[in-house]
Amino acid sequence: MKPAQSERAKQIVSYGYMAVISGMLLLPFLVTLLRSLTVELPGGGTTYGIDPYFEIIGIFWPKVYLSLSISIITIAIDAAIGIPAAYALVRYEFPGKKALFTMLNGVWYVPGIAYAMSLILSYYFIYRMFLGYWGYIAAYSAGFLLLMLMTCIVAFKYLNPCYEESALCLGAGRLTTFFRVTLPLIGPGVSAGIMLIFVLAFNEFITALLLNGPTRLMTAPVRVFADVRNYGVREFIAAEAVILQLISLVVVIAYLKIVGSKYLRGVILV
Amino acid sequence: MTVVVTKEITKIYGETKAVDHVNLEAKDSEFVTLLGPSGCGKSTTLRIIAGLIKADEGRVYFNSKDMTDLPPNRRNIGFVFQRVALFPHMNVSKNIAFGLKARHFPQAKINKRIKEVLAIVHMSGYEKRSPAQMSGGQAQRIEIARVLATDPDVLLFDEPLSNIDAKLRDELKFEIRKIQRETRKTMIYVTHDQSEAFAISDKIYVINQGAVDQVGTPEQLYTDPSTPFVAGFIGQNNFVSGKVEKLDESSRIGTVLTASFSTETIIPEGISSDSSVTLCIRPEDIEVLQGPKFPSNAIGAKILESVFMGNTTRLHVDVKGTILKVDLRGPERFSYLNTKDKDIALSMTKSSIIKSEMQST
Repeated sequence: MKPAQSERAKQIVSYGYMAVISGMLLLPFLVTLLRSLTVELPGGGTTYGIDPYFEIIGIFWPKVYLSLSISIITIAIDAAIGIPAAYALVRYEFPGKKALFTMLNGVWYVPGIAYAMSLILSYYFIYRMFLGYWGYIAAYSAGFLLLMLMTCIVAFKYLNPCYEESALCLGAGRLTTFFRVTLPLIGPGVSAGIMLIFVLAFNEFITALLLNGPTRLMTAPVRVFADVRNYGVREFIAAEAVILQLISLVVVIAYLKIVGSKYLRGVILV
Repeated sequence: MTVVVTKEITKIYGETKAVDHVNLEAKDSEFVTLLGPSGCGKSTTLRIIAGLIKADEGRVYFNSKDMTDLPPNRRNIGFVFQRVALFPHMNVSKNIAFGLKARHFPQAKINKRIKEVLAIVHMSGYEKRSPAQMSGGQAQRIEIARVLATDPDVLLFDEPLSNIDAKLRDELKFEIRKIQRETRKTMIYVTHDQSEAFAISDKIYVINQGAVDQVGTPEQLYTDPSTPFVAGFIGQNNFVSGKVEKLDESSRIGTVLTASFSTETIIPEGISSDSSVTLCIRPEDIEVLQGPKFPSNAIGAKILESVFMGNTTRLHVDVKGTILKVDLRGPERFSYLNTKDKDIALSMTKSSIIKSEMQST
């Protein structure tokens, strides 16, 4: 085979590979989208339209707002607790630090359902003050704190302390140093934590399902599950699924475009 | 106008004394260097002066004011780090303005000051550049401009040139010295590079294993090392064990007899006749005599090896079993290229004595 032909064959293989991967990732979404645009005609047969989206306006959107507000408050709480905690864990030495890191890593290996049960037992049955909306917030914040903590720990570990020391030597106080130097420089870590928590909290199912009974509050993913159980995979349920996927996608892209590049334009330098 | 004094500062990590009762003084407008090998505690000492590390014992004074318990941001210092610490998310202007904003300077004054300090470090016009768009040398100049902007009482440099290539390092060290002379700031500079220390310092503290080994001007340290460590660390040296003979108490000139040769030198106070001493002879202080006639004190030797090193040629010579290094400079250095097994005559033009015994290096 000539070098040009070999190069061409390599290109075909790599494009083909990318096409297969993209197809595998996009196919479920495209199928769901197609199903959500299917309208059954009264006399039998089907056509395409956006009627399924209108059918769920009053029922599904309140659940979406609930999921969004829980996710956003969870992010705010986890950032407020996780960033300073990660800073302290990386920058200060204290007895039992290694044991604490081991424990934090260990949480990843606990099955989701078991962890959700533990959270609910802790925040609902023991602390009965968390009934309803704040029960969700408490359980979600505790459940997702580790994500913020670990992404920020990695960011702090790779951030050379000389930047903070330099700011201090230039006359800045600890708070100014933190907000004007440290935080922007660990921006990628914080952004990763925020995005992970948003996507996972917004689409969280196990904890939300378990909390649904005692709190009588239903988040959007639980609503999709309940509708599938009651009606099967109908077109309006496909519309609900598409809305959840689109919101996740739009929020992540908007965050990276607006916040990620403008306010958290940090770089991690070893 | 600041005098920096440390009194008995000590820092212990586990079982290691990183800094061991260090007393140092940097007078107003003085350029003081802490010189020593890696891990000797010089950077820790500097960081204690800056307030970045808390000493376990001892005090730090600026103009007799006790600064020991003050955080770095209340000491009015400028600290230039080994690794360029420009904030990567800010351009040059914002980096320089950072310290001025922290001190609540008005914007007009900040803009004026940015221009002034950039002119000092010859970087005018770089205001909008980001640190990523600059070379190591340029970034280090901006770093210096940034610390100068706040008009600090003391400038502290922690091996600022160690990550810069040799040619630029050579230029920058003289520029730092020039800036110090122009701004008349008290400077404390840390380096492991003795040529750097010698080129720019008024006074050098040689640090070894956390403690000060010797203090002096570059010339004093070079010509009169008082400890085996300083003699070995600063410059090249030949160390030969010997015994003092024929000491003239009034002039302190005596003869040191070694196993292979004898030479006259100044014997320090406290060393008497018959004392065992170590003779230190710098390779450049040994002269290769040109014949045909030699003086009576000439020492016979054989060239074992000759190594051309650019501005010098290093000869390894055997003097009746004692191996000495001899450096030849000037046109003479070309006469001995690739020379081996050749008999020559040597003369010691200068040597010094240290009391302690030490191994030849």
